[in-house]
This record gives sequence, C-alpha cells and structure tokens, in this order.
Amino acid sequence: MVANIPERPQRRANVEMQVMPDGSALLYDPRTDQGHVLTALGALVWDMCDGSMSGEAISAECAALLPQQPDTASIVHALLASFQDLHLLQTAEGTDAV
Amino acid sequence: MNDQAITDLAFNVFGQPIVVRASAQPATWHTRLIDLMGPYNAPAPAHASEIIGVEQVADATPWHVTYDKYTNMLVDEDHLVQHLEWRIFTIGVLQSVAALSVHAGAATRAGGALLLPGLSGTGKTTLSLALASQGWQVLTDDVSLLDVVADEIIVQPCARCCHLAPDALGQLMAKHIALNGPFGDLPEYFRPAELGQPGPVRWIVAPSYAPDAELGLTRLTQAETAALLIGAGLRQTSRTLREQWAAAIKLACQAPGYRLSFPSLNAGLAALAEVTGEPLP
Repeated sequence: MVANIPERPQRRANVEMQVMPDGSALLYDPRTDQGHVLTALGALVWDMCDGSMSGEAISAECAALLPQQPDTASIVHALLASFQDLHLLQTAEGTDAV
Repeated sequence: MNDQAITDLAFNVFGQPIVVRASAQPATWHTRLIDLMGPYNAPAPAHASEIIGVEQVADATPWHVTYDKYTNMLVDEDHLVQHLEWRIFTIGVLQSVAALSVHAGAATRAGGALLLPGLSGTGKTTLSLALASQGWQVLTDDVSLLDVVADEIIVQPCARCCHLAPDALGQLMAKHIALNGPFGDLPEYFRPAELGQPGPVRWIVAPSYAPDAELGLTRLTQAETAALLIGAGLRQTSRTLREQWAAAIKLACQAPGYRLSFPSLNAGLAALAEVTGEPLP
C-alpha cells in the first residue's frame, strides 16, 4: 500500500506507547487490539508525530540526534508510511483515520 | 436425543467443566476418549454449561459433533476421538482465567522455567520433551498457561497428550526420554512419564526447526518478545486482548527473549544450553 503521509503527522490520541526497559517500544491500538513493535528510532519518530513538525523536519531532527545512524531520511519515511498504513495517525482533516 | 438414552463423559480442563454428551449405548470411542484425556477426566458436574454433542448417523461422515451452533462431521472413530480431544482442550484454554495462554512448550529446572513459544511444526514438542535428557522436567509441549504469582509470571504444567510423528518419537527414544502411551488407541499420542512443577519463566526461546538452515540464535528486544508472545497467543475469551498484551509485556520484561533456528535436535539443545547458561551437552 502506498501511504499518503500527512503534511504534519499527528499520532492518534488513543494509541498508547509502552516503552520497555531495554529502550524498545510497543504501540498498542485499542481500536484494533493490535500491538506494533518499534525500535528506539521508531519510538523517537512516534514521539515527534505531534502535528507540529513536517516529515522532513522529523527526519532532520532524527539525523541531528542520531548522526551515526545511516540513511535516516528513508527510515523515517518508511516509519511514517507504516504509521499511516496502520491508521495510527490522524487524517489530514484532524480527525482519526478509520 | 432421548434423555433416557444419553450418557455424559465429563472432563475438567484448566478449571472448566466440559461434558461430551452421547448415546448411552457403549461405544469404543468412549473408552478411547477417557484414556486419551487421562487426568482431565472428572465426575459429571451438577450443571454443565459447555456441552459437546456427539451423534452417530447413517452417512458417509457418520460422526456428527455439535458445539456452539456448529457441527463437525467426522469420517471415522479415530478422527472423532482426535477432534473431541482438541475441542475439549480448546474450550478449556479459551475459557481459562490464566493471565496469558500461548502455544508453547515449557520445561523447568532448578526452579526456573524455559518457555518455547511457536506454532505447529516449529519443533517445540520434540525440543521440550528432549530437554528431559539435559536434566529438565517437562511442563508441557504445546499449551502453556501463564499465571501471575507473587508478582512473577509462572508457567503451569499441562498433561495433555503430545502428538508425536514417528521420526520425532524415534529421536526421543534414542535419547531415552521416558514417555507413557500411546493413549486412546492412537499411535502418535504420548505423555511425558513425569511433569515438573510450576515455575517462574526465566528464558523465552522461539524455536524454528529447519533441517537445511544454519544454527542461528538471535536476541530479541523486549518489545519483540512481547509481540512474539501475543503472536503465539491462544486468544482467551475470558481475557481482553489488552489484558493479554499487559501480561505479555510483563513477561517480556521478566525473561530475555530469543529466536532460535536449528537444523537438528542436538544443535537445538546445545543452543538452549547456551541460553540458559549451562555447559554445552
């Protein structure tokens, strides 16, 4: 599926993030009862999806925070696309995706 | 079915009373099912809410098994007995009040349990039973019920028969694993001669048997381990998925998780010895 990533990605309010003691994280979507595994970078990207930053800005911020992480831009794009595919983001109109 | 012509075969699986209701006419499958269910046979309950009906009809599929609006038609008595055993355990697991139930083998040693989650065909039955050759006590080969005791997640023993293909049975015999059976007049159904006591989970290893693969042991993150447990979960109706996720997260924080691909039984046992900190066999 090709994701149509919102201009300023914003996470759905009722999706819960559980950060584990080892730094990995899970997103739990109560609407589907599904959990999604995140890496530390994935958790960082999720945290930045507050509707205030564009995808490019999130990428740039992650690259600055993780200078040794190669290919940050494509990883961040893939993460945002996957959030969108999984309906974890609000739609462009500001309502929850169905 | 006439009330005066029925008989109830009663079982108690994980605290759930379950009745198989059939014609009172003596039938060999009654004896076979009772033999197969072993310690799960129980006195008839005063009130049975879970009733599985069995009828024999003159048909190409003569055995009709009815439960919860659905009817399964079985071609012969072997299939009937196997289906009933599966149905009884499915009801018991789905309605159990355990914190989490997963498709997993398990064994215990020195008070700590090793959990081997995985779907059918991953080699968990053979590995679980073969651990007895390394000083472990088997708890289960397929269904692991997990409970919280003193803020730790423990795995309970399960005496359900193991379903062993001839090659797996041969490998276990070669390691002198003590098994009882076959049960139910079914040549592939056995039980470990002895089961261990419940124990806190200390290691989680998801096995995957692939004869052409190289041995591979990969440490999982705690989030991956929790997702793995839910992936192997048995979806109890008595627990919401949120509650099952919470239990999986707790367990993933309690015990390290690994994925293991192994090309042979000995290689798998060696990898498990490495994970659990024992000398290689």
